[in-house]
Amino acid sequence: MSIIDQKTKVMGNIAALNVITEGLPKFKLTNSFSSMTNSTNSTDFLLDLVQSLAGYDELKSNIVDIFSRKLPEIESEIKKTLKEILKAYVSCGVNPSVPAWLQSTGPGVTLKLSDIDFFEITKIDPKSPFGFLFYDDTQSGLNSTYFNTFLYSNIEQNKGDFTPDGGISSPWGLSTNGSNILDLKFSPVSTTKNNIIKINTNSNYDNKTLTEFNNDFIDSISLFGNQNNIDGSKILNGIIDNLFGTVAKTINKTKKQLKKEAEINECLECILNSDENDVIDDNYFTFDNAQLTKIEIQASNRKNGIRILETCGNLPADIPISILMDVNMSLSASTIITTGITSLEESKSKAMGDAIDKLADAQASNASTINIPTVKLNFILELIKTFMKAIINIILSPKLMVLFAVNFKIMYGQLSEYENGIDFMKKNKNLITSIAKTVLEQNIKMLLTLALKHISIKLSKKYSDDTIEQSKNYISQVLTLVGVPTEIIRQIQGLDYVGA
Amino acid sequence: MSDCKTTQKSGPVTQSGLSSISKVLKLLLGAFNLPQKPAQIIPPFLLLVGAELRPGMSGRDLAANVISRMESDAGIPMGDIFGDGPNAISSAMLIQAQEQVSHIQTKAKVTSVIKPGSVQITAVGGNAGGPIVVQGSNVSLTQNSGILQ
Repeated sequence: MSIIDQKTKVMGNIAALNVITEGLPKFKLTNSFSSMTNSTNSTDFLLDLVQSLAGYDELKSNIVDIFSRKLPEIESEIKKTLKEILKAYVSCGVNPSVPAWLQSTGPGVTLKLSDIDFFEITKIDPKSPFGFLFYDDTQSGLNSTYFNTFLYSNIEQNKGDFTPDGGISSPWGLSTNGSNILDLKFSPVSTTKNNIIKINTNSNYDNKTLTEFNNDFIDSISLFGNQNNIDGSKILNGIIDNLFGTVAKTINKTKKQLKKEAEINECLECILNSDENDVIDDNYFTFDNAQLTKIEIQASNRKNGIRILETCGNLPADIPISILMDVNMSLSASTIITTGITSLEESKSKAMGDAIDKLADAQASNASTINIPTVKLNFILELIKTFMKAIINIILSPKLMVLFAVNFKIMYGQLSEYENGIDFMKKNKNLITSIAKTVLEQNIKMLLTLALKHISIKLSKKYSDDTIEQSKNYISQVLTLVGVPTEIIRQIQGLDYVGA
Repeated sequence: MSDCKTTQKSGPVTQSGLSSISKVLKLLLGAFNLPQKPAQIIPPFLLLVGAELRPGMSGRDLAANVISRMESDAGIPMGDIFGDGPNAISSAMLIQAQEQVSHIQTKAKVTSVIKPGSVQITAVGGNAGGPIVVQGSNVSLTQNSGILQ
């Protein structure tokens, strides 16, 4: 059976269930859903399905649940996948011990800062007013438990040293893993290039395997903020900036940089939309004219801090930075138990629910009253869609790019290089695809669980009604056989008979 | 190093294969395939006696019931509107019901089957040795035909 036939069958079954269990059809015509094609995009189909089954409040509470409770589980799955992929990288003919040139006394890996910072995160000071939107543990400098804060602190420490390859190395790992894992040094000037990052494994790893180094480094990194008390703000900020350019506009990112980011996200979207059996070839990393136009428009909109709501007459919507900062303050405050709150979980869930409502209201403020419910529902759907890209953007930020770049050099040779983010993704297709599919599976699992929950409720109602109907039918048939009048039998069956 | 590039091209690590639309659809469609309980069997004696009392099918009665509930339950106007003559939907319902009933009454065929051993017989006879009592049952599947009225 073709994909569209199977999709139609699912929708048809649900439409039938709605009629049987709720009386009259409430379902949109199946052909009005944009996903009702032979497209293999599971997310779009599940989103159409879920929005037919659940409304704004339930979708919101699902997102709240993910952002406030499920992120540690997602982080754990991603880290597991990363360890497996990197282990596969280093266990195929390459010496699995840390190469001598990478060890503490070797020349190490030298990269341009831009090679590990595709999204220009290090251009934001963690201690600046907007720093806390993307960094965690912002005040601890080189002792920070958040790698990107640590990296920025080393850059800050060495940025005035214009001696070629100058600056002081800083060790990373003690603050999160109890012992140092790597040494990192930013040099503003080097013999060949400027703004260089030099990475060596820490002397603790001179006699350890590369897999141990990789695994320990992955464990030392927190993807979504403080691992013991994630408030969900980092992922939410990533999504909002991705959709509305709220931060991009505020910190005045260049159009050129925003185009680079849009290109990375376009590639990710294509990989996320691919089917399991599709081969991710080099075509996934080049763009046709339609994609180039889309990239251009996205970059322009983010530069202007707006998002065009196509479902609402191309209405420009925005989320002001002040609202995003207020929301972050509330989320941050929710990680402390206050009076009237029974648990930290409840506190974080409530704050996240309020935050999403506030952001949904803000972006719908330009819409006419009649369109507000639709605009708010679309906002929730966009949060779910963009969630995957935002996670991968976090994975491709310096905190893990440092590790990927080191493994890239081990794989392809110490002198090998990649030109930019797209080139890195192309040369590490398997890594990127595995990350994308792991994130996609988490998202699909969440949507599928929600859809199946609603389908199960309807099915259990149907089966309970079926049993009642079967009993009524049996009694009615027996009664007709003993001569009970039809009118009485129809009353027993629940049929409002008024005919002759 | 070149060995590694082969591994690099190998398929991605996935946990449950949920990224495939086919698996998602299979899971969803599987949810609808729960088995239903079989209907209760009506006592044969009651059937034997009561079947005689049934009035038989009527296309007009069927149409009357459907038209009545379409108006009362679904809110669909089934009466004549603004003097435009007979309501076309009501007429359609009547035609449909009459044709369906007629089709069932004139074309439907009922086939029933009698299980081996379900018809018990006792026969009494005799021969030179005296009276004989014979007991037995049908040994093969037996088919019967019928019509719907």
